[in-house]
Amino acid sequence: MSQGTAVFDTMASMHPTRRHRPRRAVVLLVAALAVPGPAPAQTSRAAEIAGRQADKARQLATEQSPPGERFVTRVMSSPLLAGSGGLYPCIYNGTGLAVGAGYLHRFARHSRIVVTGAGSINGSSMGDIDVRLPSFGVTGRVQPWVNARWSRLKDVPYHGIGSDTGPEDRAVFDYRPREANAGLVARVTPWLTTTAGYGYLGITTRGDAAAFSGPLPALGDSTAFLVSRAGATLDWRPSPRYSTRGGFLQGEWARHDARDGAPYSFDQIDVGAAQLFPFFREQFGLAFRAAATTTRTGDGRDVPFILMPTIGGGNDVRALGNRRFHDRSRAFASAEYRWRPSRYIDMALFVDSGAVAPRLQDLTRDRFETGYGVGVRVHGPTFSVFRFDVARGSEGWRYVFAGGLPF
Amino acid sequence: MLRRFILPALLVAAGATTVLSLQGATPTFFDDDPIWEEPVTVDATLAARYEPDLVYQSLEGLLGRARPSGLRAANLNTVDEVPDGPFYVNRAGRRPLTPETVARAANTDSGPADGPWTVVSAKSDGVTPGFTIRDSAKGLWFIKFDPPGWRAMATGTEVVAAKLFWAAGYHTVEYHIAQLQASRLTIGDGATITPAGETERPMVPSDISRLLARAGRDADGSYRVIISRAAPGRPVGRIRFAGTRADDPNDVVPHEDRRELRAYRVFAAWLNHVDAKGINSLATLVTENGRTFIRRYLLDFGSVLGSAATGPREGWEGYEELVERPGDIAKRALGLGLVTPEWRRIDWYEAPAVGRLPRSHDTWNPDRWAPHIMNPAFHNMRADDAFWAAEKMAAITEPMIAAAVAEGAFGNPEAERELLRTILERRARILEAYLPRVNPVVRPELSGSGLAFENAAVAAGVAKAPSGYRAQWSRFDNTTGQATPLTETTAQGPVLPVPALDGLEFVQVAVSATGAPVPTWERPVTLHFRRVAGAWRLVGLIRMP
Repeated sequence: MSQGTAVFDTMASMHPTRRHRPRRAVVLLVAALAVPGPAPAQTSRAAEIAGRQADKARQLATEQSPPGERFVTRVMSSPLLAGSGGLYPCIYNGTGLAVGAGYLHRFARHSRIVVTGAGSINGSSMGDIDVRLPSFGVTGRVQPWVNARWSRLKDVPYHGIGSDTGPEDRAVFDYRPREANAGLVARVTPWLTTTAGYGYLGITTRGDAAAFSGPLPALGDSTAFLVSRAGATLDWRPSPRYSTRGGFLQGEWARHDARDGAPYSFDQIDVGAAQLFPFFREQFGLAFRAAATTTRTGDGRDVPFILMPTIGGGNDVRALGNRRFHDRSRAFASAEYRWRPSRYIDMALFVDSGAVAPRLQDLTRDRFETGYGVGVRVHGPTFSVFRFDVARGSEGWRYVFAGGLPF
Repeated sequence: MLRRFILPALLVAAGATTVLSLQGATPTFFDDDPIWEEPVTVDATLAARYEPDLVYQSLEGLLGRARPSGLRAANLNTVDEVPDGPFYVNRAGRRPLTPETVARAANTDSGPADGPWTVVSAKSDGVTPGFTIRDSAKGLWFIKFDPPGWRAMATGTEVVAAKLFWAAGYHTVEYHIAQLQASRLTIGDGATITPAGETERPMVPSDISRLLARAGRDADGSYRVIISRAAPGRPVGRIRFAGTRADDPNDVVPHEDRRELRAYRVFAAWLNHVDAKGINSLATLVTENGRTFIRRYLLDFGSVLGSAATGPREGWEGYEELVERPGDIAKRALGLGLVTPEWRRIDWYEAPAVGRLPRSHDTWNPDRWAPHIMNPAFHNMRADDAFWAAEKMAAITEPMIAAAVAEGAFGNPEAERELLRTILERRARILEAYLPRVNPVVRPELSGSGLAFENAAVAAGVAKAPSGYRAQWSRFDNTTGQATPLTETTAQGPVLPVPALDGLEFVQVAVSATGAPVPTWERPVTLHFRRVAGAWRLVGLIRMP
C-alpha cells in the first residue's frame, strides 16, 4: 500500500516538467516499486497460526486491570467495605433532611466503635458515639455496649395532647436531648434476646408557650433523668432486618427517674407483636403488626410532653405527620399485603390505624386515625436498604423515605 | 510518452504482481488441515499474575452487555471443530471414553499422602470454611466442606460436575472425597488468616475450631470434605471471557470468539452451573515439551445442580440472572403479586444429600437458562456453537453420567437417582433444543461407494428423519477458493451417490435435507474433500458461515 502511494506521487510530479531524459529507467524503477513484496507464503496451518503468535509476541504487554476495574477494586478494598471500618456518609430524616458522616472501626470479638455526626438544612444537628465492647459468655452471646448522643433538633412539630387536636394546632419547638447509656444485650437463644440498660438523659425544650394550646409539661425546662430499661424479644424471623416469614413478640419496661426533684418521673411499658404470612412460596404475603405503649406516674407527677408516646410517622401511622398525636398511652396496628416483583424489591399495599389516649382503656374506636398507602422496599437477602411509602389519610398525603421496614 | 513507457511499465507491474500474488497466495486448505492441536509456539514466561475483581466482573456483566456479534467462532479447525489446546481437549465424541475413565477423570491417584495435613492458609470469607494444606509428600491441596445439615450436597455435587466437565473436554483438576479428623490438621509456619472485619494475622488453633464450627460434622466427629489438588504450574490469573491476554503470545483469538468458551454456556446450563464466571477458573503457567504456556482450568463447581455451596439451590438460580430484567420487574410490580416467575411454580425435590432439584424438566428450556452473570462469550454463542456442545453431550452416555454421579458418594440412593434423573432430563432437553437447530450432518465420509454421513439429531432420537438429502457437487480450486458446479445427486437416506470425480484433487459438496422437519436443515453444510493417496479425506466443513 505504501509502495502504491509512492508510485502515484512520483508519476504526478513527473508530468509537469518533462525535463528528465532517463525516463525509461525511472518508469522501470517505478514498475519495480509497484510490485508488492511477496507476502511470506504460509506452507501450513500451524505455520500460519505461529506467524500470528510471533506477531503478538512482538507486542506483548502486562496483563492489567482497566481503569474502571482499578477504581472498583480500590472502592471495594476500602476499610469500610472490606469490613474493618472507615468513613461513610449517612442521611437522616426527621426535622428536615440531615446529612452527615460516620466513622466505623471494628475490633475483635464483634466489638466496634461508631462515631456519627450530621446536620440538617433547618439547623438541626447531632453527634453520636456508639461502642460495642467485646462479647463474652458461651460463644460470645453477651455483649456490653455504651453510647453517648447529643442532639439539637429545631422546629419539632407539636399539636397538643390528646386525640382531638387538629392540623391547625401545629406549633414547633426546639429540643436538645443529651444521653449517655450503658447496657448489655444477651442472645439467650437464636430467637430470644434480652436487654438491660442504664443511663442519663438530659432534655431541654424551648418554644413560645403562647403558640401552644393546652398544658405542656416541661416546656421550657431543662430536666435530667436516670433511665433504667429491661426488655426481651422473641423473634422467629430468619432475619430481623428483612424477612418474608416468621414474627416477633417484644416488650420493654423503662423507668425515668427525674433528677433534682422535678415532678416528671414515670414508667413506660412498650409491647408489640408481628407475624408475616407468606403465600405461594413467598411470592406474596400478608404482614400484621400491633403495638401499644403506656406510661404510669405517681401522684403529682406528669410525663414531659416530649417523652410522651406519639402516633404519626413512618413507623406507625404513615398517613400522619411525625409525632402528630401525643398522650400518655397509644396503640396502633398495621396490615400489609406484600408482593415481590424482584428479589431485591418488594412492594406493599398497607393500612395503618392508631390512636392516643390518657389510658389504654380510653382507646375507643372513634379516637383511631386510619391511613392507607403503597410502598416500595429495596432490600438484600437478609437486610433492608430503604423504603419509600406513599400514604393517604384524613390529613392528606404523606411521603415516607426510611432506612428499614416498618416491621 | 504514455504509450511508449508508462503503459508498458504498468503492464509489467501488473503482470509481476499477479505472478507473485499467486506464488504468495494462501490456499484455502493446507496440507496439515484439519489441525487437531492448537499450536503453542512462543514461550509465555513473562506472564504475570492478574486477578480480576469479582465485583467489577459482575458489574461489567450486568451493565456492559454488548450485542452478540453473530460471527462464526474464530478458533476452529477447517472441519468446524475445536483443536486441543490450552483451553480445551477433545474427549467425548472424539476419544473413546468409558464409565471408568469418566469416573477417574483428571485424577491421577487416590488423594493426599498419608500423614498430617499442614494448613498453609484458610478461607475465612464466605459462609463455608476452606483450608489450603500440604500433605506429607509436599503436595498442595484445597479442602472444602459441606454446610451443616447438607451432608454430601456441596462436596458430592462438585465431584460429579468436575467429572462431567472433564468428559466434555475442559481442563479440570483432581477431586477426591475424604473424611477429615480435625486432629489431622496442623498449622504450618507462616500460615495466616484474615477473619471478616480484621486484618491478616498468623493463624492460631482456635481459628481452625472456629472455621470447623461452620462445617457439617458427622456423628463420629469427623468432617466429610472434598479435596482438590492445586492445578499444575504457577497461577497467573483466571479465564477472561472477552479479549485476549496481553502477556500471552499464544492467545491470539478473542475469548468471546472461542467456541469452547461460547459453548461452555450449554454445559453450564446442563449442570445449572450458575456461577460459571472467571473467578471460578484458573490460568496457570505450565511447561510441557519444552514450551511454557498458559493453560486454563475450570474450578469450583460447588454451585451446581441442586447445591448452592452454602445451602440448597435457590429457586431462581438458573432461571434469572443476578438482577432481573427491568421489564419483568415492572410487570410483576403492576401485577400485584399475581404475575409470578416460572421458577416459583416449580415442584422441587429436596434432600440433604443433593440439595434442591426440580422434580421434572419437561418444560425446561435451555435457551432461557441464565447464569448469575452473563459473559461476552456466552452472549456470542451461535446455533452452531450450541450444536457442537450438544454433540459432545450426546457422546457422554447415561452409563458415563451414572459413573460420575456414583463418584459423588452421596450415601442416599434415592437422592442419587434424583440427581441422575435431573442430569439426564436436562441433557435430553438440550439435545432436543440444539441438535435440530442447524443442519445436523456429521461425520461425512466420501468413498467410491457414496458420500455417507450421519444426522446427529436423528441419531439422538430428537428429530424425525427428513424425506431425503441433496448434494450439490463442485470442482474446488484450492488456490483461488473458487467452486465450479458439477452436478447434483439425491438420496432418501444418509448415503448420497457420488458423480465421476476423476482427476480432481479437491471436491466441494453442499449437503442439505429435503422435506426436513426443521427448515434450517435445508441450508447446506458445505464439505470439502481432498484426495490423498487415492482416498478422499475430509478437510473442510462449514455448518454455518
